[in-house]
Amino acid sequence: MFPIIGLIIGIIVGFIVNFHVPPAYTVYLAMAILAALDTVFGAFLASLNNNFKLSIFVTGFFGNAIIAVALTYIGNLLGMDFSLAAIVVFGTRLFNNFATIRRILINKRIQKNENI
Amino acid sequence: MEKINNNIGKQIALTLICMLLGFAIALQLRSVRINKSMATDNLRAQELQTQLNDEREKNESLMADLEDAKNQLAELRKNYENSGAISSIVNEQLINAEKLAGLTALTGPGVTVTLADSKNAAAATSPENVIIHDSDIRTVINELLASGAEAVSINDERIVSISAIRCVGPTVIINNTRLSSPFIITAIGDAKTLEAGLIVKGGVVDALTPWGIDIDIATFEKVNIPAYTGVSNFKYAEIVETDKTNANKNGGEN
Repeated sequence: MFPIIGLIIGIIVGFIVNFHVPPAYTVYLAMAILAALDTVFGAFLASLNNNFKLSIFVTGFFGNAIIAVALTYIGNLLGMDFSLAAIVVFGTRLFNNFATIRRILINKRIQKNENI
Repeated sequence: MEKINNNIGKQIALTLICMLLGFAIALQLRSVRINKSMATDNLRAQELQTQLNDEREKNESLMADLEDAKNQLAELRKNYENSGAISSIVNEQLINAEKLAGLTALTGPGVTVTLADSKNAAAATSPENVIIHDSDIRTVINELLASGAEAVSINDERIVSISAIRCVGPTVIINNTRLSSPFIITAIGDAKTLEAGLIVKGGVVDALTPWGIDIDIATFEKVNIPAYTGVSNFKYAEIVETDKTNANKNGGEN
């Protein structure tokens, strides 16, 4: 519950704050967001499986974001879009995680209905 | 007990991280939108700049053409004068006509009227009241002509029979040349009469000073007025034969 409130507060602050990222850096922030989203989905899945660990989540959240940004930066330096690798990996995992979450939630509901 | 504490710590950490994520997403959304609008603005400005440059180049080449044509004309005229093909009477008529048309630079006694925007224009509640308008310039010129001015120029732009004076934004365009404050209006004529025509009670000076516009009138023994530099292609007007003038006196074409 609290995390969702935190998310909403963050969004509001982000819209209100009088600052915007220069055009050259928006791609980095986008990569960081993608990595972070992947971690969040992963965490949600882990909590459904009852093996969620905060330390793993926090390190994943920041570590993935940093690596994604670094990869994009290096790609820029080398003249090749390395961010594609991160996009494919994180994107694929995001969908996989979502699929698993969906299955778990639906199965739970079906079980509940059968029990009743 | 420890488990509950641990849970609360987890919740706080998750909340903070979600806050960070939300902040990043919102910031990114806004940044992308702002940057996109800025990019289109820049593109538009660049487009206009190239158009402007093109027009400027065209203008320059046309000006060069005009200069060439004028030089040619002067040469031809000199040749004629030297060969004596034109009688002195015709020559005199030509000179008079040129004076009247503003095709030659003139010099003689006269006045200069300097109009400058009010110094506190920026502080005024409505700036359009305290800056100089085309109508103010027209009034001054009209007054000068009424007082017998024989030639008038504004910031070295000669006023001829087809000169329009109009405001475009903060500037005034005369003979397709952009002028801005201060406007120095020069007129050749009897200096005393010209000055008197302007400062007469209830005249132009009285009308403009309440707005805070600076008017400075100076009389000179000798002022110089440049020639009209624009083109005068008469596309529609044609010279009327003397007989026809009488026939059409009471109406237009039949």
